[in-house]
Formats: sequence, C-alpha cells, structure tokens
Amino acid sequence: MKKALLISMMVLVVAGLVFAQGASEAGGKKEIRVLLWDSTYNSTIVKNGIEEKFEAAYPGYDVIFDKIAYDDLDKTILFSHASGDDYDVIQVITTSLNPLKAGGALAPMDDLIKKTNLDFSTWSPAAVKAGIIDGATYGLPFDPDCRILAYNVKILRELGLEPPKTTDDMLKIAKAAYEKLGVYAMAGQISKNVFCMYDLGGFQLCFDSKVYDLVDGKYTALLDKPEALAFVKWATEMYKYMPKDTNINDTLARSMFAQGKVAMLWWTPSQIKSVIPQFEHREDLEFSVMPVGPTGVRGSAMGGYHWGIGSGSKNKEAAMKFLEFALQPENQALIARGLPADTRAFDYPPYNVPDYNMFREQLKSSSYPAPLIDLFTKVAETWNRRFQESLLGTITPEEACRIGQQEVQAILDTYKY
Amino acid sequence: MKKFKEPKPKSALAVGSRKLSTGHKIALILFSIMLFVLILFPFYWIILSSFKNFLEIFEVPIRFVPKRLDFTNYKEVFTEYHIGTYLINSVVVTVTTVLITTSISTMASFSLTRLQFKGSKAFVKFLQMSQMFPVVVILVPLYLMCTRMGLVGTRSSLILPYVAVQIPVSVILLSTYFVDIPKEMEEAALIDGCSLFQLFFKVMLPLATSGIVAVSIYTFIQVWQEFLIASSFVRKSIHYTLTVGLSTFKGEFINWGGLMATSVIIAIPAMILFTVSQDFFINRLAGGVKE
Amino acid sequence: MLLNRKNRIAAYLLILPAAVMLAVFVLYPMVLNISLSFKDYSMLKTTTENVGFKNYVKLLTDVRVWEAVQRTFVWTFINVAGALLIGLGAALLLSNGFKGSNMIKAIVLIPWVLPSVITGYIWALMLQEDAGVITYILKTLKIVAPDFSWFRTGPLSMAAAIMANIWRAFPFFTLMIFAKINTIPSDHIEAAMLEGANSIQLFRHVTFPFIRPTVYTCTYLCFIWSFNAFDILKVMTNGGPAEMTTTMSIMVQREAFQFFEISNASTMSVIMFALMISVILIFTVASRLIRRVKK
Repeated sequence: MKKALLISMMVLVVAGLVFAQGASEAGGKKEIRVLLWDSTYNSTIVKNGIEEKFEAAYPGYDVIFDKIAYDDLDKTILFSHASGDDYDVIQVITTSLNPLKAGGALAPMDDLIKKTNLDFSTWSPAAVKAGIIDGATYGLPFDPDCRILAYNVKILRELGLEPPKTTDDMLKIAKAAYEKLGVYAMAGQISKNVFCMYDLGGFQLCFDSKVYDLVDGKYTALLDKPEALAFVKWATEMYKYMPKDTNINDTLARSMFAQGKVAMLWWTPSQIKSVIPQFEHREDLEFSVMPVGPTGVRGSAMGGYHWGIGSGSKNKEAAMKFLEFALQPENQALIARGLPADTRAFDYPPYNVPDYNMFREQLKSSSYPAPLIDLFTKVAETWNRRFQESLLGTITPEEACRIGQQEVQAILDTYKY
Repeated sequence: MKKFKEPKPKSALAVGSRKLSTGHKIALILFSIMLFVLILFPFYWIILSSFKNFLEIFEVPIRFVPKRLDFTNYKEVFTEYHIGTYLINSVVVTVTTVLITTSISTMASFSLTRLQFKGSKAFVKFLQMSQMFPVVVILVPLYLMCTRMGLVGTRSSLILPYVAVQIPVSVILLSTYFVDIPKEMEEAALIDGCSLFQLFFKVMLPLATSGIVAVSIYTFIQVWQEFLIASSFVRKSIHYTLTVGLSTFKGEFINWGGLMATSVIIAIPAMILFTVSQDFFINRLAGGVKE
Repeated sequence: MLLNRKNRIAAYLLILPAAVMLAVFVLYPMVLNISLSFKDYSMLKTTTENVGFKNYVKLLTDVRVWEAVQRTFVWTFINVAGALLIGLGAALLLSNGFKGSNMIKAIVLIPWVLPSVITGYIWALMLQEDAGVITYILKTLKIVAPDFSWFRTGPLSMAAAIMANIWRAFPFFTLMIFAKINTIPSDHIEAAMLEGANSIQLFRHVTFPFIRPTVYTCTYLCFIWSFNAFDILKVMTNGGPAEMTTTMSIMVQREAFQFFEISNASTMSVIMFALMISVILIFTVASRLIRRVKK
C-alpha cells in the first residue's frame, strides 16, 4: 500500500515535469515573435484576422503573437532582453521608448526602414518625432492617441448649460452638477502615477503649461510658472466636485459615467470602440475636442504606442517585413485601437466615418504632456504626490507648485545629456 | 498501516461544556454567527459579482441578491480567456511542486529535529532568514540566473523556484510536528532493532502524517495563488497559471465579472482540498499522539 | 544516541536536497541581491559599476524611506495584532465543539485561499463610497456621514487595507492554534475543571501554555508576511493617496518594476531585512529577560 503510494507519487512528479516542459515548436518557416498588449490583440489583431492576412501575403513567415497585461509590458520587454530572448516585434508604450532604448532593448531601425516603401510624410509629426532618439529611429508610431472630452448631454440639458468650450465652462458645469444634481464633475484614480500627466493632468496643456520641457537645451521644470499655478488651482477647484475616493479605477469611473453619475470625463478615441458599446444610454454621450484654456490654447495630451524591434532579435529583417505590412494605411486602420498614425489611414474602415474627423483634427494639434525622456515616469510619480496633496487640500496649490518645482528639477538635474 | 481508533472529538474547552451557563451559550452562538458572516460575506460578494455585468457591479442602489443567475461571465472566462488551459497548468505546476517540496522538506525536517548534527542550528537559522527577503527582490537575480540555466519559458520553469521558495516554511512547520513525536517511540523502535531507514518510513512518517498533510495543503495553497514568479518566468500565454490569467482581466478596462468568476474558480479546488482532508488532519492529530 | 557515523552521513544526505535547492535558488540570488546593492545597476542603463555604500547613504538619508519605514511598522503591527486576536478567538470558539463549529471549520479557510489581489479588489469594491456594500450599510445606518469615504485620507485608507489583510490572515492562526488545542490531553483539562477553574483560568493556566509555541511561530510568520505584504495595498490604494500608504514593500516594487532601478530596490530590501531581524532580536531578547525576571 505504501509502496504503491510512493510509486504513484514519483510517476506523478515525472509526468508533471515532462508535461510542464511543453512541446517544441515545429520548424520550417521563419518565425516572427510579436509582443503585444492583450487589449490590442483581442480587440484588433484577432477581430481583423491580421495573422492570417500577413501569412497569406508572406507565405514564408510564421507570425506568433504573445499577449501581456499592460502593466507587465515594460517588464517583459526588459526581462526578455536581459535573458537574450528578445522578441522580434514589440508593442512599446510611447512613454517607455526612451527608457527602453537606454536599457538597450530596442534596435535602431533606420537601415531597415530604408529597404521598405514606408513614407512618413503623411504621418503625425509628433508621433514620428517621438520615435527618434539621439537622431536614430527606435520606434515607429502605430497607435497614437490623444485626449478628448466626453460629457453627458442629458445632465447639461437639466442644468440648462451649453457643452463646455473652455476650462472655465468646465468649472461652471462642475459646480452646478455637483450642487444642484449631486452628480460628480469627473472621476478617476488620482493615485495612478500618470494622473498628473494624462488624466486630470492632461488638461494642463490647455493652460499652455507643462510639468517640464526642454528650455535652451536643458530640461527644466516649469511648475514655477504662473500658467502652472493657474492649472493646479483649476484642478484643485475641480476636485471639490469629484468623488472623495482616491482609488476610483478607470472601469468604475466609466461605469459611473455610463450610469449618468458623472457629468464629464477625459476620454481617448480607443475607448470609443471598446467601451461605448457597453453603455445602455449611448445617446446621452457626446464628445468634443478639448476645451480652450485661459490663454486661448487648446491642448490635448498624446500617448499611445509605437512598434519597436528587439535589439537582440535574430530576425530583424523579418520583423521589419511584418512592420511594413502592419503600417500600410489600410492595415494601420485595422490594427490601431486609438488612432492610426498615418493620416491616409483615415480613408479606410473603420476610420472613414465622420465621427473620426474631429480626432483627425485634434491629433494634428496634440502633443506629449512632457518630453519623453527616461526620467518621465520618475517625474510623474514625484509630481503626482504633490499634485494629489493639493487636490486633497493638505497643501495649497502654491506650495504644491513650489515643492514640486524643487523636486522635479532635482530629478531632471540627474539627466545624462 | 496501523489503524488508530477514531477517538471522540476531544476539545480543550468542550469537556466543561455541560457546565456552561445559558449566557455563555448565547455568547458563543452570537460570536459564531459574527465569525460566520465575517468570513463568508466578502466571498458571497465575489460570487454575487460574478453574476453581474459591468454596469451592475457598480450599480447604486446595491443589489444584495442577483437579478438572475447569469453564467455568461463563467462561459466567457472559459471560451474567450482560456481559463481552462490556465487551470490545467496551475494544477500540474502546483501538484508537482507540492509533491517534490513535501518529500524534500520531510526528509530535511526529520534530519534536523530527530538527528542532532553539527550545523543543524545554523541551517535552521538560515531557513528562518531566507523567509524574510521579500520574493520580489530575489526575483531579478533569480530570473537572470534561471535564464542562464535555460530554465525560463516553460511551465516547469516555475516548479523549481517554487519548490525552493516553499522549502523553508515547509521545513519550519513540519518541524513543529516532528518535534512532538515522543522520544519513547523512537527509543522503542531502536530497541526493536530498527535501522534509520525503517525508523523514518515505518515509525516517523505515520506519526507525522497529519502534520505532513497539513503542511502539504499549506504549500498547495501558497503555490496555487502565487503571482510574482509565475508572471515573470512564463512567457507564452498557453503556459500561464490561473493567477497570471487573473491579470489578463485587467486591461484598460477591468473585466470585473470575469475577474470574480475566475476568483471563484481559483478558490474552489483549494476549498475542496481542505474540506476533504480537514477531518483527516485535525481529528487524527488528537488520536495519533495518544497511542 | 543516534549519532553514530552511519547515521551522521544519513543525516547529511537527508538534508542534501533541501540544502542544494536552497543554495541554488535562494542563497545565490540573495547574495547576488546584496552585491547589487553595492552597484548602480538599472535595467535602463547598459553599464554598471560599483558604488560602495553610496546607495545606503542615499536611501538612509532620504526622508521618504523613513516615512515608508514608519508606515510599514504601523501596518505590520496592527495586522499581526488583529490577525492574532481574531484568529485566537476563532480557534477558541471552534474548540468548543458545538454544532455550528463544523460549519465554520469548513469555511474558515476561504479568506486565505483566495488570491490576495482578489481580496484587495473585493474589499475595495465593498468599501467604495457609492457602490460599496459596506459603506452603503454604514451610511444607511447613519454610522458615518453621507459623504464619508474610506479612501480619502491616509489613515482611513490604511485602515481599509488592514481590514482586508486581517480578514485574509487570521484563518492561518485559527487553523494552527485549533489543531494544537486538539492535542491538549483531556486529563489536563479535566483536572483543572475538577479544581473549579472557570474558562478564563482554564485558558491562562492550561490552554495557553500549551499552544504558546504555536502562537509564537504563527506570530513570527505573520510578522514576516505582513512586513513584506504588497498585493492588497497595491490593489486597494496603490500607495496613495499622495503616497500615504506607501510601505517599504510598495517602494521596493516601484523601484524594481516601474523605475527598473534594481540596485535601489536591492538596497531597500537589505534595509528591510535588517529592520526585520532587529525587531525579532529585540523581541527574543525581551522575552528571555521577562522569563528571567519572572523566575
């Protein structure tokens, strides 16, 4: 009895190890390994049969997609590079381009691009520029997005107010919605580290202000400027009419918006495809370009993704073949979740509808919230703390800007030019 | 195998239960209900949420009972999110890890507690210290080392690190059970002419069985829901375990329904395992030592 | 008595697999980790060099690190105390052996069995200011103000996360203590009862001395886990608001996987380790002194 138990245990262990080893892939075709954010994979690659399309166009290649959660994208890229097992094609978060290049994970692409027929003259200039680091191309834009404003027309009608065109309008609506109807102005997770750059912080561009910028060849914090203070004051005032919970994740925020409990919200075009279909009262929602700030500037924060090629990839030419395919206008339109980088792609489905004209326009005047250097994340994390403290009222906007200026500049001073 | 007579469930406090006043009894019942609700309520909420869709989860006013028993989330979880594959991976990895860990730990524990030898104290100290480093920090060196050894990228790449990480706690916990075995048993067996081998297999193991089972279950539970190593060491999504599969629900948009459905799926095997073996190890413990 | 040569070899052989596994997969990375704390290794750079104790100086003089240390201790101690008290209470309750206790035994493991991220998510959901069932009940019963929020201030956010963590941690205590209580020979108890002991005296003089080793082991393990705990805080508060619930664990993870500053993370982990050992040493020494005084 005991012997039987022992033997069956050993068999189980061996079987487990063998099974766990996994089958090896069949050879023959040239393999291209692509790393994607799973949302991209599910919502566009699979739905539009990209794998089949590519393999039909290039029969000698076998493209394999690996999908990862958003939070693990950078980690996976760096880890696979550290172990010498780089992916061939990588979907890179645009703000991570610089850090990844600094870590040696991305391959320079200029020589490979010369061999293709890609023409960037019709592409979003800001997105193309973001992929060029130290004069060489390390990333090709494929899915930039920008911020737009969403609002609930039903609530506005009840308040007798017009859709917001300026940041002052937004405050008026916020106050009225909260005090008269008990509806929140906006909602989001203020403890998220990009909150100060993209979410509520995305409106900073409307105030003609950035957290930091390249000034006379040096990266300088700009929180001591009056425009920055104006923005922080505006945000602090706005926060009075937002939920008290600081951990409202994006799903909850959108759910509240869908239920008519939130009047306005920052939005990205990618969420039009993915999130709106889940709303019951679609007709209550409308979108517009970002509002204009007190100095007459309309800003929209850009984000999104670039394609990169792993520096340790053993198949760089094949990788470029895939990218050439994926970046054709008609394919960009199919693969992009947000907006395609090439304005010609707007002539193809699903972007060839009037809905997207607004974003085509907004994209032209969008910019990244701050220079995308490798210190971007650290600066965001640091400034977000003071930003939150101002919103929560533990310090005044003036103090937040003063302390934030010191801290951000201290970080920027460590930049290696 | 000797069969122990199943003793009446003995409990420290029950002996005097006849003497408990009604006040006492009411207090006990009250506390029991509170405990019951405390434990179950969040779990009930998870099950409830697994039947809701994205809008209903955050609906106000709050629904305490599901509108309808909607298994869409569960269906979706198996068809679109491949939880079936992840489930199999989890089972294989966890069971294998538990078997290997328990074997290694039992041997080590026996050696440390019953056979005093030079360096055993130092080894125990080392075990205690290795617990204290958060896994996250040995993750990067561990990862780099494992890739150099060619151990990364398959399911089995999880098993060896898991075993290593679970050994310290297993040994520490098992030791408390081995230590309890009275020396008289050992001496009696030795007088009967037992070799070390026989001592271990025929005497120690049966007596410590309850402890071994308890610690195996503990290891199972720890490995079953481990996330950090699982997410870093496995690359292909067909190799994901359930916990890593959980993270796939958190995209730009958290699929709460899927998340909750998967949690229920994750919780069930562990619960079943525990319920099945629970009588075994809690009640046996009392009887085993008596003999 | 067993220490003849053949057995000593056997003893080492039995330890061997465990020792090898630990040496390769735990000791070596630990040593590597410590060596990294003396370098300036970042995954976002392609070169590293030794910097001696610079990292330690930098971090030990950083106010944010000490704030995190403080928060870590608050978090850990409240968690351990809460889990211990509730766990012990539940174990005593169960050991009364009446009908309800079998039902409770069957479910007591649930909090522990759920993945910690789920615990975080569900508690965050239940405590949400509008859609959270617990907050809703509290507000309906007027125990809190209508605009009450758990996650607006640092202390309350910490309290929320601690509740979730205690819920998760106490079954471990309950199980281990309950198993140990079941081994108390009933004659000890009968003897005490015959001498007219009530429940409290029974506990103090019979039960507790018996379960004391288990309580100590469990407390020790719970201390280590709580000190290193990460998932629940990350999911519920993300270290916020404004970093008011950022414990050392969260800081280490952030350095390692958001900033990819591996050396900083390594240094912080060594500091954490040193702190943990200090606390444990202090307690061990203190308890020995107390025992000596009692004699």
